[in-house]
Parts: sequence; C-alpha cells; structure tokens
Amino acid sequence: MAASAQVRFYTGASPGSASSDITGITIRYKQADNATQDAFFPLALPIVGQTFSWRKSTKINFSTTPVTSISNLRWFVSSNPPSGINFYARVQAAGIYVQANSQDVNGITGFTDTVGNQNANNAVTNYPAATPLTVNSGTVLSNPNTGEGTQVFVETQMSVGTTYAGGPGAITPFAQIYRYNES
Amino acid sequence: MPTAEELVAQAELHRKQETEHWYIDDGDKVMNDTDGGRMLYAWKAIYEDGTCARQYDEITFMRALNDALYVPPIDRIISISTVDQDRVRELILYPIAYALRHCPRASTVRVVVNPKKGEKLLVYWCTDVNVTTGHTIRRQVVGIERDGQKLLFVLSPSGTMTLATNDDVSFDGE
Repeated sequence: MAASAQVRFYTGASPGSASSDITGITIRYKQADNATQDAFFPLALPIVGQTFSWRKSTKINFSTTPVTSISNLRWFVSSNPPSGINFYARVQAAGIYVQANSQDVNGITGFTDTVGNQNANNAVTNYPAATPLTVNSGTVLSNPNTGEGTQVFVETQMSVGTTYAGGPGAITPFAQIYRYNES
Repeated sequence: MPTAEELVAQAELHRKQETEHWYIDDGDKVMNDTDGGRMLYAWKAIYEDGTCARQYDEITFMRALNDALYVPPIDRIISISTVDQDRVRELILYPIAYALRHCPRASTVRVVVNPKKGEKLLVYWCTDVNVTTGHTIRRQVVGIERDGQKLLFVLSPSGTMTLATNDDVSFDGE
C-alpha cells in the first residue's frame, strides 16, 4: 500500500496530544495553544516591531505503512508569506517537545529571540523547495509500521510587522509542504 | 516575421497553456485515479543474464501497458526492493496506457546500470504533501548513484522530466 499521510499539530502539556488531521485546512497562527480553525486570539498589528504568535509543533503521521520505507523527510514553503508577515521554522532536537505558551510572544530562545536567529537562521525564506528544512535525513519509518516513526517536530512561528497592509482577518494563504522519499 | 524573442515567448505561452489545460481538464481525475501520480509508471528490471523482474505479475503488467482505462490496484505492486541490485543492468520505466492517454508528455525512460563500476540503481517516489491544500503528489524518481554522487530523473505526473543531482528541486507546479 501507499503510505497515506496526515499532518497534525501537537498541543497541550508534554509530550502533547495530537490534533486531528489538519491537512487541507488553512492553519491559524494565534496567541493560544490549540489547532482550531477560528479567528480567536489573533495577532494585533503592532505600532513598532512585530507581534508574535505562539509556536506550533507539527508532525506528519503515516496512517498506512509504506511498501518498504519512508526516508529523507523535508519541509519547505512553496511560496512566501504576504509582505509584512514573517514566518519562522526550525526542527526541534530529537525527543524534545515544548508546549506553546504565552512567553512565545517575546521571541523563543534560540529560535526567534534575536534578529540573527529570525532572519539568518530561521526565516522560511531560507527554506524553499531547493533548500528545504531537513527533518530526518535517514529512514523515518519502515514496513510494516505506521505512525510518525523517528521524526522530530517541526516548530513554526508567525509574526506580523508594522508594514502589513492586509487589514484584519485571515491572511492570504501560503503553502507548507512535507516532502519524503518512499520506496 | 516574428523575432527570436517573440518566438521564445510564444513557445513559453504554449507550454504554459498546455500545462494549465492538463491541470484544469484532467489533473484532478488523474491524481485521484493514480494515488497522486504513483501508479502512472511501471518498472521492468533486466538482469545481466537477460531475465527480468517487473513491478506487477505478468497479466497485470501487460494489461497496464495496453488498457488505457485500467490503473493497476496498489496492492499488486511488487516492491523494487526485491530487485537484485548486484545483477541488474537496466531498468525501464514504462508509462502505463492510462498515463499515455491522459498525460501526453509521459514517455519511456531507460536507465543503464553497471554494478561492476560501483553504480547503484535508485528507484523511489518523491512525495509532496501540501499541508495547506491537502493535495499529495508523487513523482517517480529513477537514477544511479556512484561514489556518493547521484544522477536522478524525476518524472512528474504531468509528464515533465527533471534531471537532478538530489531530491531538493523546485518543480514549480509541474
């Protein structure tokens, strides 16, 4: 069988509980720890600087097993966010999960706390299809297993800057993509 | 008389229209019928002694190559991992008859392998799961690896073939 994939957010306390499949819905980055597609807890347009969302932790779940294996798991964005919207991504260390929390709005240590971490290291503009974020370079999952295998979390965080001109409401969607090799 | 630039622009426009036509008219149906493009090709591996191995049993394989209304069931796939890597000298990827009907640019690909020179055959699917749209697209990848270097042919469901040295390529909707 082909490996069927679902993408899930993790919310709640460590190790977190998985949301239902979020593949194919527009994801809402907000100042709350939930995976609900709604307009609550929005990011306010700042007067100076940027307003951060709380982080989101994501994994891809293989609900059917691959013929042989899943390997070389990557993550990238296929288009950039609208102007004035900043979007950051990194992979967490193996075995680490951090619950989204109110301190995330100050910038996450080692992730979005400095200009260097934001722009040089973790801005998604660094991760187009040709230079994706490597989630797991080796084998993630082998037949006959299902689930998430050995993958680590992809952490993402969004912010809105003073130059965003889109007005209130949801922003123009842009695509996050998981890519993997399947044999 | 059109200029060279105008001819190039015209060719690019035709290419774009052809791609858009494919997506609008047939794309969704093809992707649904073939598990995101996974079933569009069928492989045959030829060994040094002339014997061969195939992706499906003989009846399923021949029907796939001749019946334009037929897409083989997924559970009939024989894993490529069953191919004896030390003896294979050629791998052929055939577009199934269904693919030739719906994807006019699909074509046969032959990869010649020389295990005695340290070449290793690579065959797998490169799968993209678009979190935002929910679409899954599977591209057939075939190529060789030698001394840590890869040469890959990536076949998109639209029939476009991309030559690459790694999987991290932007296909721009192909």
